[in-house]
Amino acid sequence: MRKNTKRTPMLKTLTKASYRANRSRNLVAILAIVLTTVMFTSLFVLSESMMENLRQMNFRQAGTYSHMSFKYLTGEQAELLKTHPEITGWGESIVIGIAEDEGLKNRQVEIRYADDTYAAYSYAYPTTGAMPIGKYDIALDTAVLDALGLPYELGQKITLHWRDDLNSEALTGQEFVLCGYWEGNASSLAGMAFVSKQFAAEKYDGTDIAGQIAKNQVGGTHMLSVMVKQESNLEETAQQILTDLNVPELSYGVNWAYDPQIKYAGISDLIPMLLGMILVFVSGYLIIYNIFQISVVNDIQFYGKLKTLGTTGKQIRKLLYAQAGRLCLWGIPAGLLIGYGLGSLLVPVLILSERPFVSASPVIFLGAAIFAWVTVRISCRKPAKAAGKISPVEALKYSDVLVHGPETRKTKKGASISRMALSNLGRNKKRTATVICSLTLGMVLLSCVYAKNKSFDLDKYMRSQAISDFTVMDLSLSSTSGTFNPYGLTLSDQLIGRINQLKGLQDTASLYAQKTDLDLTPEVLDRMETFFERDNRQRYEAMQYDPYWIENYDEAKRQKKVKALVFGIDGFLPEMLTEDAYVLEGAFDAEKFQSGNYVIAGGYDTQNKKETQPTYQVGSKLTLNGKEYEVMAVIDPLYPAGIEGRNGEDAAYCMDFFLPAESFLQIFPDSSRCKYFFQVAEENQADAEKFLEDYRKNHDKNLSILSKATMAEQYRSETMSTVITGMAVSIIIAFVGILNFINSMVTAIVSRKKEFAMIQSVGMTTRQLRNMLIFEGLYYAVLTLAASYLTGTLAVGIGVRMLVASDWSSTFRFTILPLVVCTPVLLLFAVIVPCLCFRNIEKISLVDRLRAAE
Amino acid sequence: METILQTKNLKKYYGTGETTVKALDGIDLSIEAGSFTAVVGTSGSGKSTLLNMLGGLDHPSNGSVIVGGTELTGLNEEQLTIFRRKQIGFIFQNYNLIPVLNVWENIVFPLSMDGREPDEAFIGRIVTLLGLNEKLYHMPNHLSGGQQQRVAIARALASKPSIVLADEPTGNLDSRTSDDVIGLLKMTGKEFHQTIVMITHNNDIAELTDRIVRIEDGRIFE
Repeated sequence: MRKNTKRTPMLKTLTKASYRANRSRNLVAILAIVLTTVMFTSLFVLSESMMENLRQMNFRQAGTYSHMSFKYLTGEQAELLKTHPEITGWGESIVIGIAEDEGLKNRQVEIRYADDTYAAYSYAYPTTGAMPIGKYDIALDTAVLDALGLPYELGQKITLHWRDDLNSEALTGQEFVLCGYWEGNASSLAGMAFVSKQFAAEKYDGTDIAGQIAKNQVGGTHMLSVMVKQESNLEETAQQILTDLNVPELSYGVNWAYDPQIKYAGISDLIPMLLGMILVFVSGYLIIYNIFQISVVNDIQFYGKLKTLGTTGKQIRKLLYAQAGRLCLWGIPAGLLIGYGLGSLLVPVLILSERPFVSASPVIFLGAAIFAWVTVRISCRKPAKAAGKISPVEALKYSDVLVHGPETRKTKKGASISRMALSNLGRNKKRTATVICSLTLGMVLLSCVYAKNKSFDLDKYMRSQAISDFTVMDLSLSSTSGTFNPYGLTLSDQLIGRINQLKGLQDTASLYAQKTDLDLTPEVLDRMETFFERDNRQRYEAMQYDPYWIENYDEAKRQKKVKALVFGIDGFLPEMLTEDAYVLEGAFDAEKFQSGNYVIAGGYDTQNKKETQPTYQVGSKLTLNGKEYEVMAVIDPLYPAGIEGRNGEDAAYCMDFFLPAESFLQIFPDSSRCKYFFQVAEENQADAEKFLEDYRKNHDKNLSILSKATMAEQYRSETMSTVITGMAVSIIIAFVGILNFINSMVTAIVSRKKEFAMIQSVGMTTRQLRNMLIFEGLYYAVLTLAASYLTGTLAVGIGVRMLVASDWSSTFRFTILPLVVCTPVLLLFAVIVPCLCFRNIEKISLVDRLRAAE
Repeated sequence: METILQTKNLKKYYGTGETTVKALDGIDLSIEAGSFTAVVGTSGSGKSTLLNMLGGLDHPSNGSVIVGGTELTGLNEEQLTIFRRKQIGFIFQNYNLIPVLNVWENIVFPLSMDGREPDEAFIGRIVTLLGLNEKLYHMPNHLSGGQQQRVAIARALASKPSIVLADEPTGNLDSRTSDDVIGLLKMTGKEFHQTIVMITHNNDIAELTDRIVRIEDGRIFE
């Protein structure tokens, strides 16, 4: 079929003309499109940045972003690997040794030569100074400088010691000159110290590297970090490379951060984002749909005329879509720009990362633009259909009149404005109900979110998280992951000394922790089995989510050996941990405990306090690190007096024991405190807080503080996303409700233009008419408020009360403050919306309106 | 007889310059109290415009309209509405009943808006004359066209206006119903001594009135 080419330009002209004729609608619609695009864009920025930050975090934890590395190579093997076509980039290094200097005990510092690429792959490229050039130059990170107690000064002399022969205790020392440094990475416990190529080359000149490797020595071996063409199947790629080059014996390691499972774990964090997208879509849809729906109702006679003149429904739909397209042309680019700006501002607020990274991936712009466009397109569907389907006759008659009503109504009261308004609401019951329901839903949700949030009880929360006014912790307990460090440097004697001099200090306590091996007697094994494997291994099965636990537990039974987590406690801790409520077996005797011959075992809190605890029983003896102790009591250990699950993989299943700090230090000398607890008189707490803050700022950025102030902050940040989501959902629902309300009022008024004219012609004054419309609005508001107060009171009083009852950090407080705040707002809307709508109508003269449809 | 309605050099122009449309071009008309006048003319002759001017629905470009001694051009929009509902009853071609009100409420609507108590005995007589007794509680959309127009007549009469203006009251009705409606109009006019001005393009119907005024191109040819 030949397309009628003459009609297309006509449609274009029509599009342009009706686009121009609707200036105010266009402005509102463009604003709506901008809003929708802004929301989509910022969500895209957030999710893309979140993914990217997660990747970056994983890379930093892995220590490199290279795809894989080949280890223990000779120089020739390294050269050979570089030739493989699959390898697109590489960085090479030569290992010297591991620094064993005082202060570096809990940081593994690898001394090696590395080329620039290797350093860059490892996030270890100097930001101040440069990579080593001179023979004795060295570049290292600020964390190492901190650990060595050195200032950040280029040119200073630094001496490092390492073992050239791993089988001997002999250390080799060398004085270097600091030529560059970069910011140390707290989340990776390993650091790098780079020496010059010349130093490495001269040191291993003539050394048989292959021989070194055969002897399991690392000195002089080469390492190659490489990037390959494809990110997926790294394991296979690595094996393929080795097979291709005929060196299958070489060892390699692929970067776990590229593991699809790790990526998948990141995606689950994006589910809230997905919900956000749906929410944006729905709200965008409702806004834009409303605008077009009103516009179509307004212009229905125009479309009717077009129909009469032979325009097909399809052409009318096209006309509407074309107008929407023009609006997008303005709205989407503006939305993308504003949205990207907003997203960049939000990223640092919502993504908790040391260096939040704002992604600028083209996916953001493309995705947001497509989503926004699709939203607009879908929003126009129904109005376009309605406009296309309208029959010419209907269009000319179209008004919002009730079709099915009662035949009669027995009243002779005369016409009152308020009763007319009420009848008008009844004309379209479905729409009235929708408006009232969506407004009510939004307000009730808002009230619930608010009441839930308001019920947070800082004191209760504090009691569950801390056992004293202030707790300071070692870095290893506050960093995002890793195992606790029994020799941490955060709680230095100097810091403890200064805390002990604080004004108003009342009580203090220290917590030490160490892991050691413990032999299991048949009785203990029996108790373990009784506890974990009764009732069809119920508790054992419940731990399946933690494969390390299962592995440790099975291993403990097989080897008859378990990891013991030994705590040293002093100050108020022994008394506090053995309060009657926590003692499960035996009894605590402070004097006997301090004698150093007794130990307290940790058990599990169970519903039945008499249950056999899976640990050594009271009175039995056990040996910890070579010293024998007698079990005095079994207690349910308080959560805040522990190491927050930083047991490490080898102690996912372990047994807890508590010793007096003094005896603990005898069997584990040089241990440093994991936590230090202290109470401060109420009036001195602010000063104590300030002291700790200052200390953190000026001396040790890694100091982690728990106090009422930090706790409230922590709670806020932990629950921020939930609160924001809750608030956003209810505000958007309320917003949609208000839009429905506006839409309902506007359509009702626009479509009754003629009716109003006729009412006016038979004697209703403009003021009376306006009053009637205001009455209509007020009826909406009053009905909504009645429904909101009723359901809101019930929802908060029953729903939120129940929800809060099971929450350990909350105390229920009844509040419907959001409703009270919304009441005048809603009433105001109820008056303003009809007034504004009416103003538009009033401008047209009575006769014109009367004539409109004739 | 006394003159109740008078226009002097009444003009209504739309647009300016060359595109000016002269809907009314100098109308001088006097209508006596209690008379039944038909205004006839072809479509676009200006007869509806004239009726709107007489009823204070539209403002003239020039000249004046005097209704029962009141100069309408001196009133503002709000005053006009109030004047209208006290003095003038309107009957429209499409009845213009209010869909959310029943028949009784529609009839007393102008009175209610004016804050007046309806004269039940008086309205009762109108209702009986118009044969609406059985339909008082019906909603307008459940009535036939003729019944709806009778409600509109009742409404126009309920406030005891001195003047009833009817714009093609039979335009949507078949000829038998039309005769009925005109008969009723005539009868109530006599009964309540009202002045009726009716627009029609139907000469047979015009013949039933006391006086016929013909309008062409905005001018009167009597």
